[in-house]
Amino acid sequence: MPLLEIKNLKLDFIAGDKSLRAVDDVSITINAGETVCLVGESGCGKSVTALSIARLVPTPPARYVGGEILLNGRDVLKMSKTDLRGIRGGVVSYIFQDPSASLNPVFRIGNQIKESLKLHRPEKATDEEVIRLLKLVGIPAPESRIKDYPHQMSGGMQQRVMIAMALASEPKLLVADEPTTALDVTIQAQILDLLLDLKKRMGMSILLITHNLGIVGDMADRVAVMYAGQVVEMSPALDLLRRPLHPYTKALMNSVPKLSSNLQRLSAIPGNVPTLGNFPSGCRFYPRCPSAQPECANTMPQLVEVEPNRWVRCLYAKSL
Amino acid sequence: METSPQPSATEAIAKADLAIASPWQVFWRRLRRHRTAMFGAVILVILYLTALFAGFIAPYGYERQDRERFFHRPMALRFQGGLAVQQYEPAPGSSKYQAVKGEVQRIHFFVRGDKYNLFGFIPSTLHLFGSGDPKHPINLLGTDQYGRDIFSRLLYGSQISLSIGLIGIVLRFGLGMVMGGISGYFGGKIDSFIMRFCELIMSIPALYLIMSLRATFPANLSSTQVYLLIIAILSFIGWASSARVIRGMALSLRERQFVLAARTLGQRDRHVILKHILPGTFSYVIVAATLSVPYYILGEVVLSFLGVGIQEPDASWGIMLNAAQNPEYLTNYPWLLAPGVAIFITVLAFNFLGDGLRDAVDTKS
Repeated sequence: MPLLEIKNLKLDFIAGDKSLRAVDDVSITINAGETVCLVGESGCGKSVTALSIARLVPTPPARYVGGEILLNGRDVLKMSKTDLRGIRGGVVSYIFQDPSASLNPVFRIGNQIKESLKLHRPEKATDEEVIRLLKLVGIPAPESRIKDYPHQMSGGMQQRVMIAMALASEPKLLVADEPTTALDVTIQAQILDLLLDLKKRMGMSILLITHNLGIVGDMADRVAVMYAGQVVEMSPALDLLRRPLHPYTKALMNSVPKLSSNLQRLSAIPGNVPTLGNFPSGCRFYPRCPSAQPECANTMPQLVEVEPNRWVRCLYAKSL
Repeated sequence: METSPQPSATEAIAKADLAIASPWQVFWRRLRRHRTAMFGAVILVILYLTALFAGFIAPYGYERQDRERFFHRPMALRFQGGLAVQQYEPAPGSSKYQAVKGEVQRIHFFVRGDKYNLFGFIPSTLHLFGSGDPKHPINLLGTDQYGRDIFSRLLYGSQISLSIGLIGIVLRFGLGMVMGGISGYFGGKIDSFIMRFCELIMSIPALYLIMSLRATFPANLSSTQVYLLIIAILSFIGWASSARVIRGMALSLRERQFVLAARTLGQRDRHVILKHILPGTFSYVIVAATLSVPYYILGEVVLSFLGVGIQEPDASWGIMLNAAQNPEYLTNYPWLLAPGVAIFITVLAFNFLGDGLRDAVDTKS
């Protein structure tokens, strides 16, 4: 049984009397010990999908319209509030993009980590355990750091504290929502190494949300590419990087600047991601797709397995 | 790994400075630099200390009447073989008093006098000062229409007038924070309901609301009951506006990532509101609370002035001013306005302090 199985998740945002589909028919599976990357442009539903794993999207304005989220075989969407509190932190923990915003500025970091311990392992809510966790995430001299306020630490250190908080409850799945976007490049590498190392040591699974394809190759076992609320391609990471099948994935990879080439201009995908409620009929990517066919405007493609373990949502996946 | 190898001297100092300063310490340091705020704070400390030790400092009990001396004028302190005041005697044929030439009344310290309970439960008869001679009492601020010592009554009255504000803001902001926090954090129907209720309360002119609320209770309540009633009524009216501001702050705070982070850890809503939303509103609450203390003091004054507050013979600044309603009294015996001066000083001190607090919590400057 996979650790997490999102099946045909559909989520609407209610705006006035309209309901806008933000997540449409998303299915993602994560096995124990696996790292899955969720890739896509801003506003394509990555974060909402990730927050849904612990049903953290506020309802209203959101509304779960359909699908299932099976965590350890139990449907999160049908859980009671008490059960939800148990899995939040207990089974799935989150870290976010901007660590300085994720820490409460008015409390010492030691106390914030202790809060997490109190909830899930109350017998371990001690200074010793906090220090052990800080050591685990590579904070030097943790004994003197537990009395620090968040503003006294650098961004990288703050993100390490966030990771310590997330790990305090010993979760099975760590959801990292663009954990390195707010950090500079050298620190990014350190944090990602730390995540990989901790994953091995603690036997967690990781769901890593990113729009940095460079990270994907280093971290991921499998990749799901999202566009306009849908998964458009899902496949093992290396296969996807070597030979992307969906035109959107190809376009994404073409927009990554390469040191080897002497291009004057970066290639970009023309146009913008359609905003919620303004999705085109048929394939959602066809207005921007370089290989669009007339049929694309009329028929919504389904996610199909075109090669073993490689799922693509494109009418012409095989012919392109 | 992430620290720069050699921080400059000024950086190091700034770091050391930050390292020891919790937000409260920073706040306190900024407050101490604010001259007028500290001045206000000192005045308030003195006022509250004298209120606490009112029985000891006041030479007479608040009920003690001297039927020989109605509307006695204030007696100035002078130095003549020790601290003393001029002796007075009733002028024959009129209700005035005249100084007895050459006679002074020495002030004695730590004399025995009227019974009182220090802090409400330690019975004592020891007073800080007194004349030691019942025929020649010391009325530093004169006496009122019943021959009661205004200075003593002012001190006893401050117990009510000053404490009413403190208890009042605890109630008001306690309620305001809970309701505002819930309203802002949950939003939706709960928010609409609480906010419409606040607006309902705020839309009624305060004085009529006060009077009608007071009228729902029997008229012949004891002063203690009235005291509690005044606090309850004023807080019931006041919490609505505080709740609205706190709700607005909660609305913005709940979108902060640390609130989401707390929820991802599985924190209860109650805990998130108490620990992560409400501390963010303290900067407003501290300032607003300080600035709204005068509202309670004046509220008590208004109610007592209108005759629905504290009842005679108990002392409060409001009931004392009640006597000054009569214009004839006012022109002939202006010392009856002493509680007005006390109110003025107190309100001013609270506003000074509130101003300083506002600057101290304002991190933008």
